[in-house]
Amino acid sequence: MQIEKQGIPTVQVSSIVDVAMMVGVPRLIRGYTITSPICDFHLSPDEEKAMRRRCVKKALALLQQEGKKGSYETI
Amino acid sequence: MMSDKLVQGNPENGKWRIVCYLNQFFGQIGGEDKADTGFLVKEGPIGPAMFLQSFFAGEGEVVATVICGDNYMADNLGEAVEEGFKLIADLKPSIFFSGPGFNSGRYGVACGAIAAAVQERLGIPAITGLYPENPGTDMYRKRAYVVKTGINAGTMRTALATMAGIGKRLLKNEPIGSAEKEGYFARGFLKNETVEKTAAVRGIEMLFDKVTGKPFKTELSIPQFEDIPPAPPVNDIKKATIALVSDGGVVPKGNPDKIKVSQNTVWASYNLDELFANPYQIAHSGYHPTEVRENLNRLLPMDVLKELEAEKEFGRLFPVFYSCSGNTTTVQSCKAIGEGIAKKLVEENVTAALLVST
Repeated sequence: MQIEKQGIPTVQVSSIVDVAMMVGVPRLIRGYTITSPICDFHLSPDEEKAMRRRCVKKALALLQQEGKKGSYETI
Repeated sequence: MMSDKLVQGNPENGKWRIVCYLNQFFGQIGGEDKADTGFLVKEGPIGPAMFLQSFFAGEGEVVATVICGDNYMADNLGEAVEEGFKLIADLKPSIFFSGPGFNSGRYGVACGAIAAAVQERLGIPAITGLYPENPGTDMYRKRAYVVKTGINAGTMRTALATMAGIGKRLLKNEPIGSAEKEGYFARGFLKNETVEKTAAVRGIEMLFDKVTGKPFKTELSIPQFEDIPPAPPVNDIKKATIALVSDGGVVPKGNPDKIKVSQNTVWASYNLDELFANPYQIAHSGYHPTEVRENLNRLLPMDVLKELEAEKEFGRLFPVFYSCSGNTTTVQSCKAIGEGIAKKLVEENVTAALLVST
């Protein structure tokens, strides 16, 4: 939030969305899990990478949108 | 230190030795023009310390009032607190009071910082009084007793009465009630208490009050966070420089910046290419690092970021990664870490940041 305060938009990937929303994170993606936030590590290497790509593309899309507190997107 | 009438000797009268701390204004040195004044030790009570003395009639004596200008303290808090602490320690107090500082920012932080140092290092009760929104309140309420005051010195007498009351009982080892009951800010301790009604009954009663529109009081207050409006979105993603930030504790092997695995207070920055090309470790004891150790991209999606950068989905991946560890980190430390990283991102002209949290 201190980065947002300086006028730099952020997007956060976090599995614990309740905490992120409590703090007021304005662009939020629900992470896959705490120990592997960006992707499902059970998948094959190719599928896992595809999921990472989906996550980052969603992050790039969110960065171009107005911040909205109290909600989140999924990968 | 400026020279003044220094306190000499130790009154052998069986009374508690009280030492007070005041700024230049309450210490009767002068106003803002004297805010650069260094430390002075005056014998006996000055200004508010005289009121305080009256609450201790026959039981304690304000042996000295330590005074320092607001700017002198604020400009170099760490060193100034150290200087003040030594003076206070030499006075061999049984108890220490600072302020009250009401809603004065510099004075409030000084009151809290010096009280915390005295309580932690001398092991004696240290009490100050501050307004809820004073930055010193949240910074120090867990490290010394911070009594809740009004916004300005209009509430001096009641503030000092509460401070003295708590102080006396601490000196006599008498129990101190809850923060709410006694009028100090919660210190972060949970204390068992016997109550007449079970949690179930209290919960149902609270629910009834809520649905019937009656006032009710929660027993568990939620921490308050500063309401920061969102930054404007990225205007032109094709020109955006995007930085990676994570609280997952990724550091080069050996943890050169000593990021703590829990209750961390520091952040560091590392070149992403070097980080990926060399052995790394996880300075975070709050999650199992197996998945991240197997493939760092699961926390820092460098592989796809490089691809998307090459495909011109965005301007540029900032080559430096900002790292910290978020595991039982205090809100205060989180804020300081965030401020540090934010300042750097501004300096580096970064457009946006991708934060990945474990």
